[in-house]
Amino acid sequence: MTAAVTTTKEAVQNADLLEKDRNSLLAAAAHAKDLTERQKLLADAHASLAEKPGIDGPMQTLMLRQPDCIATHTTLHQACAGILAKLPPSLSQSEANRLLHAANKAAPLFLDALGQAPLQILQWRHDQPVPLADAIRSFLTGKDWVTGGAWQDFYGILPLLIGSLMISLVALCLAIPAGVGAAIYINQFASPTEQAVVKPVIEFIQAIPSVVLGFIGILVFGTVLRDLSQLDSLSWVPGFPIEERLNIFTAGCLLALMSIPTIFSLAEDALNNVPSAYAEASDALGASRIQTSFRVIIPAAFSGILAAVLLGLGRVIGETMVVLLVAGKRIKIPDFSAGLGCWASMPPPTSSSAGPITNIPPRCSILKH
Amino acid sequence: MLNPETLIRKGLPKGHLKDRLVRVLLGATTYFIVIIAALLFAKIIKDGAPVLFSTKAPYVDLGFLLDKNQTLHVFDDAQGVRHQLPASAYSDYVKQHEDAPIYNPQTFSYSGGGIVGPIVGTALLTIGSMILALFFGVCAAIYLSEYAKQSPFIHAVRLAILNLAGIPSIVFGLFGFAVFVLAVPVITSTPSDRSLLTLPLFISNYVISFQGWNSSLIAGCATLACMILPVIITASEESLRAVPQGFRDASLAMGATRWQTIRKCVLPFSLPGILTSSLLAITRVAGETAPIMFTAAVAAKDDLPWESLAHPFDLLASQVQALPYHIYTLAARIPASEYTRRAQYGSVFVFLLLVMTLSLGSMILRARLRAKLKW
Amino acid sequence: MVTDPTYNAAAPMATAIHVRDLCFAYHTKPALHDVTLDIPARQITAFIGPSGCGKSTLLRRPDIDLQELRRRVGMVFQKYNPFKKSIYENVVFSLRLGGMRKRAALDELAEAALRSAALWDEVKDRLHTSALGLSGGQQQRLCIARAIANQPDILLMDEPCAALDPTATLKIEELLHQLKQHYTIIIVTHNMAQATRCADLTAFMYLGKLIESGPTMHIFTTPNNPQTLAYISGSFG
Repeated sequence: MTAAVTTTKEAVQNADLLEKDRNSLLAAAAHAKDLTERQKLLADAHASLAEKPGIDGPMQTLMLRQPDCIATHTTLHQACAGILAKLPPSLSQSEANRLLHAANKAAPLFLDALGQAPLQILQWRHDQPVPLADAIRSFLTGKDWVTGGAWQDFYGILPLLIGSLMISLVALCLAIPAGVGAAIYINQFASPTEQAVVKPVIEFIQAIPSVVLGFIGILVFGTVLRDLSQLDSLSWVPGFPIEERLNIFTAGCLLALMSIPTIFSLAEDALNNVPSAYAEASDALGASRIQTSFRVIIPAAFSGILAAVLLGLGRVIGETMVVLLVAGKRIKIPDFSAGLGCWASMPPPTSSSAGPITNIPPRCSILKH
Repeated sequence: MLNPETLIRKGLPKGHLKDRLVRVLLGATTYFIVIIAALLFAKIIKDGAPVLFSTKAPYVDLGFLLDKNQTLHVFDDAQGVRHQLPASAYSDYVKQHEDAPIYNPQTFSYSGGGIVGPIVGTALLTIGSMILALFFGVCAAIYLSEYAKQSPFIHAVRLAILNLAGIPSIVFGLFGFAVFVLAVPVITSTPSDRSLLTLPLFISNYVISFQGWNSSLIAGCATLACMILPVIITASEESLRAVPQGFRDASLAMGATRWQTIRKCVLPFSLPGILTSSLLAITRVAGETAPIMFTAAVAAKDDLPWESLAHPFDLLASQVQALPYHIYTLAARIPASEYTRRAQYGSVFVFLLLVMTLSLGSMILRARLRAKLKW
Repeated sequence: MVTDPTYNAAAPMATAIHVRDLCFAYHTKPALHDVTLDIPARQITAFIGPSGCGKSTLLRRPDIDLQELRRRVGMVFQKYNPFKKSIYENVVFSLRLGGMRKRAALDELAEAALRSAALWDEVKDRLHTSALGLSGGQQQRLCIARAIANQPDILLMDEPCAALDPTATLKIEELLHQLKQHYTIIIVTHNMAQATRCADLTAFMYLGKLIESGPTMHIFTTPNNPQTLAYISGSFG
């Protein structure tokens, strides 16, 4: 059945292409000056006329199979439900136990899908176009992003969005303490020589192109991080040891390095702009250096520091090259039930658009058939 | 004052330990960042400098900089000696030693020869995009600051330009792809199938066909120009504003027209600021990958852009290699092995050297300009 | 280069600070020369003289705990500078620095300080709103409350009314008369009328030297030193 449908689909698509060719050849023939050229073009046009294959015949064959499909689904549903009811609650061997738990977790979804299948089969119409609302809804909430698929393409943006957010979260968790901490140190506690040396160095990091960071990530950092995670002394960190070299955590680390200079310079500017009268008043009341910094100056500069963090977030979310190179190629919503160890590999929307754009042939359309 | 003796500090002040701890913690954070950055640079310099620099005169491996990019062939000959040859040298070797057997042949794409193609491509992209961006940007800045009446519309335009500066580069890449590659009008007699709209020009059988420029140098330059336009416009406006109003008044008082005033009295004095921002823009243009990925760049190209052209204008329509895209290819599309290291690290080193020099130059220029800009 | 000021744990109504041969220099530039005077307890002493003559001083003996010293000397500045926090938080700031945490104790001391600064009735309903919402005179009184919350021994005021309008100035001067019952107050001012209104003792300083000091009425009617006479009659200033 699959082969028959695929062949029909290809035949219809080919016919469409030939029709287009024919039309353009006819148009060119109308403009042709030379008689021989015109005749040649007309001949080509006629040659290109292919019989548009009727789809009624294959469709009839397909529809006849419908009751069989429904019956198969119902039988499968009953059989699976029966088997799953008979499974023991746990098994002795660890690997078997793990598989058992995975099966139990997936069971409700599977049975659900099987149960709904007969209804969907009955409702399917081959000539009914997909309504726009449905298309938009499946774009915004769909859980699959498949391009260049053998059967059909799915464009659900949810895995990409979640991947983006997860990478940004990791990057910000690393970058905010580092950037704001460095800004506080440089502005409040560092000597003038330290200030003059460290500030330009950190701002210089901002100029490193992102493709260089991605390069380092793929060639050096991924391996270093994976080896580091194998150490026994670090096995308490959730998610260590890491098996996959390219994952969300690696990408998050590199993105943190990219956003630290942004957060640093803006936070430092905010701290600088606090009027010195506040520090003087606090000193006069007998506060020590850290008391003045943490109780007076940082709260006064808080809105500026927040702005710095938001701009850092903006930079991180929009970053393509690092993620394209380092975060891996799997497009799937990571399994959150694995706890903090869900650093599966995955590319966020900014980079995954780079891949499909080069893969989608310009003539494909999902709404037509 | 009661009991002044209590003022004399005995031993360490209260809270001294906490003070020290906080300082050490924050200082450690700061220096950790610096160390990570230093390690990054050190790794690239350690592995990349030997590729570019050599111990003999002229101290730079000109072959790496001036050879075209080729596939690397690695093989053993009958004596067990391992050879690594770029494709052209490999074909010469094969021709010379026709009967010598070749064992364990391996090929590594993009890893042999030099990087003149990417370097030239980046240079062309930079020059083209700067010409476009400076022209449109400076004109827009002159209009906004000299001619436009302050109105809500102009405020909205300024806000839009500022917003544009924060947009990620991949969005510009997609915009360039959608507009410049697929949709901009072309005057041609043979419109392509995917043309969105054809309007007849009543000259022979030419039409205006909205079919885009395809992936080409001009599309890449246009995309990059869009990307740096906000930077150029805001910096140019700032430099124009910094010129004191007195200059304009004096010139107008002597009977000059508005445009003469701008051309002779305002623009020359704002040029340093515009040029400084141009350097910043050049740094950005040279370093970005995402906008050129689908609009101009190609991974492998046998000839330099100006070779094998049917018509000089075809230079604008040809795809180019580019240094950041070359690095992306080397990092993502080929496996890491000891034979590819030379090409990978050498390219990254040259690229980093270029971008960091430009960036350092712009930082120094900006500092000097700020110090000098006192009327 | 500073010679020791000595402090005397004296009986009330006697001298609060003995200053003997005090010299002070900013790096190498001398600012004060051989200042010797006694500042009486629980009275208002005014330092007058043209601007920049060295009226503000700083102590730098290495083993003196500066923070402790600052807690025991309350300071009010020329330009009022409450923190960007609520009124309550401003007042209890130095109390919290000292480690006090009990809410009841903080509330009590805050109310006492605000009452002493004649601000309680005006702000008691909005203790937790921003301090920057008060008028100029109220903010300066808030700074005074903040300075006295920790019950310092001495109150130093550097031209406290310079940034205020005449009505607010009057209120502050009335406040000073009340405060002097509990605190020794040293006020620096270039407004001679203010010195006549407020101070019990006046010291005239010029170019880093103490020219003359004595009871206010004496200084302003029959000064001993001709320079003092020239200053108060406005020949220079």
